[in-house]
Amino acid sequence: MRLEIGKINITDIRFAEKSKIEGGVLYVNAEDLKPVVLEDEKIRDVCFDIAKPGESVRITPVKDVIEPRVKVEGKGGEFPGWVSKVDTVGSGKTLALKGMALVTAGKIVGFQDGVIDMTGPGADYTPFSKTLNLVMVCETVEGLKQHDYEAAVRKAGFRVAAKLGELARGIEPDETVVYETCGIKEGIEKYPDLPRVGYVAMLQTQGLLHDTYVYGVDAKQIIPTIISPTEAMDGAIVSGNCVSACDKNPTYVHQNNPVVEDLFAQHGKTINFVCEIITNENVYLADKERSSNMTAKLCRMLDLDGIILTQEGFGNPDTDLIMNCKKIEAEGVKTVIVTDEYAGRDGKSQSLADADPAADAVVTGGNANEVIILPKLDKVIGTLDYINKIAGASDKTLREDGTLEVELQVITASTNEMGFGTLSAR
Amino acid sequence: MSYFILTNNPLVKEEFGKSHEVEFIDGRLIDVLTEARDKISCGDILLSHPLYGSVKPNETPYRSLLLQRGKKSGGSDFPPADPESVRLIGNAVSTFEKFIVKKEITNPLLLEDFQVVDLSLLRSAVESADR
Repeated sequence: MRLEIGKINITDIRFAEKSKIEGGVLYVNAEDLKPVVLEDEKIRDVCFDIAKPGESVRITPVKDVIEPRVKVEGKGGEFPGWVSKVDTVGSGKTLALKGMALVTAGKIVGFQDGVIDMTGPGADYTPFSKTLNLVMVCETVEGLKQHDYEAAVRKAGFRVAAKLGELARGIEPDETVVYETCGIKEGIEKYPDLPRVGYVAMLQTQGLLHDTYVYGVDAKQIIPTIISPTEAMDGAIVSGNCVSACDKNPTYVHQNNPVVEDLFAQHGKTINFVCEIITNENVYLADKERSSNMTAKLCRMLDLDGIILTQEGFGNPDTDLIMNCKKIEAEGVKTVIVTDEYAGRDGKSQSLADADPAADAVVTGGNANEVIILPKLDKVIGTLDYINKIAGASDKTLREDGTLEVELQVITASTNEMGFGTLSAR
Repeated sequence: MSYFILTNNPLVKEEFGKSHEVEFIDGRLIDVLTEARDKISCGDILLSHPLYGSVKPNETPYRSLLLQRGKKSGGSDFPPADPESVRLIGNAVSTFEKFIVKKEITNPLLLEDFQVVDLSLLRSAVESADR
């Protein structure tokens, strides 16, 4: 499959009378976007705000982060199964608004985490302090149940991102990158001497606030399957995961998966990047067994020499991680795992909730228990009402001087397990 | 499949109490894990993972698990302990002990949110078990 990503560099976001992209500036008329959100009768109101790198702004609680894109050539459209029909995406041409993100924020449950600081020490830990952020805070109708609230805000985010992406249609991109994978036979003929490498992405799939969707399907219902990595670039995989901010994979990270980027960078040079395999992280142990069996089988059937395996979350998924690693290694396929650590505040505890000698090649995204003091910032988008209740916080989190004492867990994508953050170790 | 639910979540008891066998523990999350550990050491088998994927064990007060009663074999009075269940519950208890437990949650709205999430995760396991 061949996908061109045309990058349109956004250098500023401003509210204006007319929504458009001009000279690298995204002009937004929030009144244009409101009806897109409010078409879901479960949402009563929405407000938009802008947060720029370096500003004294804290966004919390963050639900999802999305990169606006538009499909201009090829089958399907963005976010298949949600905004577009379920055509297979991942080929043709897509335009992406680079340097910016749509952030959905606001309370869904009372313990929801997710902090993006645009300045100060917290900003160093989140990649989304470097993007120009259009933030969308939804208010839902009274009495809406948690499941309905989550779904309404999730889907509204995709609709708004698609609407913003449409503004790019017809604009000449600043840069175009081509991503292309071969068919099985074609790859073997084209790169007979290069190792065949795959990417196995584990998706969080356990229930409310812990879900991921593939072409609109709840991924806990799938058995592992093969996709082209370019499909995720068009929004085929989206996040419904609202907690564990540090190591969840926001939709933006699926669209801009750094493992996929790096594998493509080596494709045809040092490796033959064959495909992406997606699998789930279910609650029921027999589901874990079945999925890891299937994943290992696919790796074998594709004659892979090696894979990179990424997880999402901590605890329960550590068991999927280890099951996958053990079984794939047992098929003779070399496996590198990418994870993060919960090694205690002093970093001395066991990092994962499961382990095996087969997991002997590990890349870490950092220790989520590490403590950080975040300064008081001038403006909060969202609310600080729940900051003491979230993962990585305690009743002492919001201190008298307005500073926050938290673990890295609260910061969006700080220990991301696809390597989207800045932390690691050697 | 014959199984039972071990829980300290009143919403799970309310939801599944009439249709499923529910053992309710009036206690903390760690009490559910240690009770499960005791049952597993006497031969019961874990069917669902004892940790969540995102909500940390020091954050939520609730935990619900699916277990299968052990079957006696040979001449022993007790069924043999299932090694994988022993390993998973042991890791879960160790993981719980690693996290610093926060102040007890008393806000009823927050408690309800945690109950709903715990119910949702358990339901996904029950749906798999009941297929």
